[in-house]
Amino acid sequence: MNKPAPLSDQMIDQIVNNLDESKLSEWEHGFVTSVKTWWTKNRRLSDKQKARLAELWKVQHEPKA
Amino acid sequence: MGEGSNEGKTLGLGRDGTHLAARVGDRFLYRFAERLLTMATLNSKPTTYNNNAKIELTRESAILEARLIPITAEMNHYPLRVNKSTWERHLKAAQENADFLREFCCYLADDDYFRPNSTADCAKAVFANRGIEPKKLSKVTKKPLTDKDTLAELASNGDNLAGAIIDARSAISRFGQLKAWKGFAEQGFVQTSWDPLGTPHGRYASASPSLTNRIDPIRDTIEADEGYSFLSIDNSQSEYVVWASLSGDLTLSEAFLAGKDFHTETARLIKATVPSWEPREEDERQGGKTINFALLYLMQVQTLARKLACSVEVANKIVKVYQARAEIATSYIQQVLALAKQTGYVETYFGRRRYCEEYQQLNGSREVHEVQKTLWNHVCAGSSAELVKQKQLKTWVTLRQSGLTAQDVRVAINEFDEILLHVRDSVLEEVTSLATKIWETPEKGFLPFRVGVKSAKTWGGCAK
Repeated sequence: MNKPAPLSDQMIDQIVNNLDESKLSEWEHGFVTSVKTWWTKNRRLSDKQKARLAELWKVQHEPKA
Repeated sequence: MGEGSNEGKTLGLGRDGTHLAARVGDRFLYRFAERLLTMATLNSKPTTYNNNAKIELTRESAILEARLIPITAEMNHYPLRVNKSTWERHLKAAQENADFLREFCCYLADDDYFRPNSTADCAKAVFANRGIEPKKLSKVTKKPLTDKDTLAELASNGDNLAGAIIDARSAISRFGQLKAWKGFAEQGFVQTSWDPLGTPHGRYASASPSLTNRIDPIRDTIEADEGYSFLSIDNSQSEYVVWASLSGDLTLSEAFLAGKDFHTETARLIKATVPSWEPREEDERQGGKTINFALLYLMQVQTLARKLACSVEVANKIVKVYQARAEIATSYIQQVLALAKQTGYVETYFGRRRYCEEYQQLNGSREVHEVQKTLWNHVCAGSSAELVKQKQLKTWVTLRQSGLTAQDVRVAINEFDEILLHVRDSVLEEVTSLATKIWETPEKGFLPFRVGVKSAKTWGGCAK
C-alpha cells in the first residue's frame, strides 16, 4: 500500500469543520479542540497531528448499524 | 396565514390526492390532504414501489419530504410554456437527420429496405452478409445481438456500418420523441405531475409527461413566460463528491478540494499507470468518466472493457489501479453492502431506508451483483438527490422569507442534480445572488460541491 500523501490545508479545514464531535471520546474531543484552536491561529500541524486527524476522519466514516 | 393567502401557493402533490385537490382548486380539500400526507410522511411505514422496492423514511428524510410539500405543490400548479415554432424547427431538422442516416445505412448495407431498428436486419447486414461471426447471441432467440455495446465495439474497430446504425437509431429515437411532443407544442404548454417520492432512491419523478432525460431539442421548446427567465443551478459531479464525502476517502476528497476536473484527472492517472490503455486524446476525458462511473456503480470488468474498447486484461489492470488509489472509497462500498447483509437494509445519508431481505437470501449469482448495484445506487444517488432537495428547500424558504412570491420566483423543474427556477427578470439578479450563496455553502458532513449557475430564456438554453 502506498504511504498516504500529507493532508492539504483544505482537507484539514474540511476535517476540523466536519468531524462529528458527539462521536468522539473524551480524549479525542480534547485533541480535536486543541488542534482546531492551534490550526485557526497558526495553520500548521505536525505530521503526527495530521495522521491522528486522518485516522479519526476514517473511523467516523465507517458504516455502522 | 390568511384564508385567501393560500390561493395559488399550497397546491398539489402527485400520488396522494393533493394534486387532484389542487387541480380542482379546492383549498380546503387540499389542506386536508396535505395534513394527512404530512402525518403519513412523518409516521411513515414502508412503502412498496412498482419494482418491489420497500422504502421507509426515517430520521431527517421524513422531515425533509414533509417540508417539500408546498414546493412540489407550486411545481404542480404552474404549467410550463412550450414554443410551437421552436418545436416545428427541431422536428424538421430531426426528420431530415433521421432520413439521411437511415439512407446512409441502406447504402452501407447495400440494401434499400434496411431498417436500422430491426435486430434481424442488423444481424444480417453486420454479421451474416459479411461472414463475421457474431460476438454474442441472445439467450432467448439464439440470434446475434446487435445492441449498442456490441455495435460500439465493432465501430471502434473501424466498422462504418455499425457506427452508422448507432447514429441512425439515435436519430430515429430523437425524431420519435419530438413527434410525440406534438400535443404539448400545439396546446402551447405542458403541465407535468411532480412527485418527490416517485422513485425508490429519492429523486423527483415527473409523469404525464415525464420531463426527465428529455433531449435538448425538447428542452429548447420549453420557455419561460414573457418577462421571466429560467435560472438553472446544479451540483457538478454530485455523486462522486457524495461518494468521497460518505467514505471519507482522503485521495478522492483532496482531488475535489483541489478543484480539478475529476474525470480528466482519472484518465491521466490511469494512462500514466496503465500504458496499455491508449485512449485517443479527444476521448480521454470521456474514458475517465466511464472509468469513474464504472467503479462508482460496480460495473463488471467485462462491461468496462467493452465500454472502453479495450481487452478484459487491460480493464482489470485499470480497476486494480483505481481501487488502490481510492482504497477507502472502494472498501466503503463493500462495507455498506456487508452491513446491508447483516441488517437487511441500506440507508441514504438522511435516512431514506431501502429494505433488502432478498439480498440476505441470495448467494453467489449474477442476481447478487444486480442487487448490490441497486443497493449502492440507493445510498449514493439517493444521498445526492437528498442534498439537492435540501438545497432546493433552503433556496425556496430563503426566497419566500425575503418577500418574493411564487409570482416572482418558483421552482419549475427538479432533475437529478439540477433545479430550474422560473424567475421574473426584474428580480433575476437578486435571486441569482441568493440562490448561488445557498448552493455554494458546504453542507455539514460533505465536501463542497462545484456549483453551476446559468440563466436563459429556455430550459435548453441553460445547458448551452
